[in-house]
Amino acid sequence: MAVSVLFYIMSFVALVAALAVVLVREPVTSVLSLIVVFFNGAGLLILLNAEFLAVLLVIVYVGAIAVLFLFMVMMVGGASESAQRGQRYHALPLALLVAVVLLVELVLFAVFTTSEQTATPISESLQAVSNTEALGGVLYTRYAPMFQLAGLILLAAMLGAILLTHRRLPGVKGQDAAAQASVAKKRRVRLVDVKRGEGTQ
Amino acid sequence: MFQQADYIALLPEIIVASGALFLLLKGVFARTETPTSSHMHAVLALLGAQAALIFTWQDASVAPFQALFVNDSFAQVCRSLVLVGTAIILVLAHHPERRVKSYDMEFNVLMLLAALGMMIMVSAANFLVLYLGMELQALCLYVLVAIRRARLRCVEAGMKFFMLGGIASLLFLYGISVFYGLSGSLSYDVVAALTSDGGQHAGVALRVATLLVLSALAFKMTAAPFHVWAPDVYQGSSMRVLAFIATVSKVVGVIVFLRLLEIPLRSQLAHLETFLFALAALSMTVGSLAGLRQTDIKRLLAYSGISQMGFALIATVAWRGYGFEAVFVYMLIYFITMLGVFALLLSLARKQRQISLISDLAGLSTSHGGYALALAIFMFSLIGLPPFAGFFAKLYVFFAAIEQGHVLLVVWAALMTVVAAGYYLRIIKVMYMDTPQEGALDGRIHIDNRLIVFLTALFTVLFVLAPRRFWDVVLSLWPSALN
Repeated sequence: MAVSVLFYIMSFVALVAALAVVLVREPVTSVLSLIVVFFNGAGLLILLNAEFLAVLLVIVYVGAIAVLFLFMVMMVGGASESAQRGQRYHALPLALLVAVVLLVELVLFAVFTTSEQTATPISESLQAVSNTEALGGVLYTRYAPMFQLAGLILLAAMLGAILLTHRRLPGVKGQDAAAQASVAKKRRVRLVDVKRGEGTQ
Repeated sequence: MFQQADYIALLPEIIVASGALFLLLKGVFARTETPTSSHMHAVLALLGAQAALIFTWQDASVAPFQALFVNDSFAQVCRSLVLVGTAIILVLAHHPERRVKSYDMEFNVLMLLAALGMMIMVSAANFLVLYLGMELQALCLYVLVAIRRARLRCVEAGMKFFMLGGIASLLFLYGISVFYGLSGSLSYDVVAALTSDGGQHAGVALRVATLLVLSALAFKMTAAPFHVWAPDVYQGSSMRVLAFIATVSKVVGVIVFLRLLEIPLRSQLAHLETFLFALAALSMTVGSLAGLRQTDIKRLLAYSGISQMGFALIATVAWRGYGFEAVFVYMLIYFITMLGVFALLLSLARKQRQISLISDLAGLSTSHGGYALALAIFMFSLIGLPPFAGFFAKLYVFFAAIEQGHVLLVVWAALMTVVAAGYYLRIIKVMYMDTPQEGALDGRIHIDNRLIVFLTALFTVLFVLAPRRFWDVVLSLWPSALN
């Protein structure tokens, strides 16, 4: 009973916050709503006994990704806001169509799937261990090749991000820490004997 | 947990991955290296992997890593297709006298990683492995398209590719999450078992999920209506990246599409016929009609690729017969023909700039008679005129479809072939009849490119001598699960 009440509260809040993410005009509020969505998603995962995934969701998505979004939004500022105002709803029919298709799919999935099919536990042995342990047990053994592959994807993404953003353009001023630290006194300071009445020319 | 045999089966992938990592590390320490050396390393890594593939050619019964991958002869052939194709494009793209670019090293690393992703895709036996391979390949391609960051058009193309590719990934993930929900596993075999008793419960959900997964792949192989990204992305990318996207990447998409239809989704095929029919009919119609008005070579190649995709997909509706084999043969011939076309386009330049408009080809017949002839042969082959290889490709596809009673589709395809012939013939007309407006085409065609043009043209012309043998070889390779 308590579980289903919690479920409805959290899914309701998550849905409202998700709507707010796309509807709110202020980008910062939008990112904050996204954080609310993540928290409620984490709550739902806890209800499913997937506490490890819940913690991961909070740490990775709230702790890292949402904070990065916030930084980005605050740095870029609301410059694009006025440009978007006029055309906010022009893709609404398409969006509704996609939403209806996905909704129909979900409903069909729920209606046509007999309960004994969905309720089958994937593995009996999962009951005995905590889900962190169970996850670690397959992630680094049976699925180790996939784990490595995911690492390569991250490498490619990192390489791409650096390649596309970090580039030395001519005429852009920047700091060279090594050059600053290795400067010697004689390259910066010139001692001149100044004759009286003549100045340093 | 895993045997030594598992790692040996994946040795080519390991070699390519180590090659990419080595190149990356070398780039950190050797700052002032020449582009030739990193390019040589990349080609060496690919050829080393190919050698490993040949030496470890194994029996199909071994499924490495507890059936996360397949190792049948079809997968082996497709992996060598990726390796050799990527190596050829790297060789073609490289000219010793080309200006050194700041991103040359990363270009090679990204090509290697993309090839790795494609190898994983063709040898996956699990939807999650397939997804990871697809994502690795796609990420590398996004970056490769946008790599000339200073040009607005490239950045725009990269951005479009990234956004639409992201949507394709979402469709795929949504589809496979339904598979997982229904069966508790993402392995092809389990999903195949699920579909075979499906129909009563969850039949509809399963069908929608199948459509989502196949749509994501249709995006990869630029089949209409999932083709909208292709013209802009093709136009924005450099010719060497385009050569990679339009040949290897596209063929890999088709291979994965066929394997999914063949193994996990086999029992669904009766419901999918309409979808496949629409995909084929739309692709050839859109590609043939929209291509007529193009003046830019890259955009023309995009539409040509879409219409060729439509012709190939005709045979998928004939899944009861030899349809899939016909599609594969069609794509092989398309692949070889396009390699020849790109070998030419990559080396032709006017005033130190790579050609970009069809009218830039004017005068090719007087300055480079042999190459104009080769390009004409490729164009005739793409139209499907006898006796060139493309004729047999279309023949197989049309026969497979007629055999299963899809006469109407074949008649429409024949009509669209005539329409598409319009733009292929226009290229020939420009080469042979138009006078160039200004400046001669650059005379130096690099020896590698000459060799590839010669070999692919030879294949296209001599295919007529042994079409039956080619077909038999493909049949013997086909994954045995279906027959």
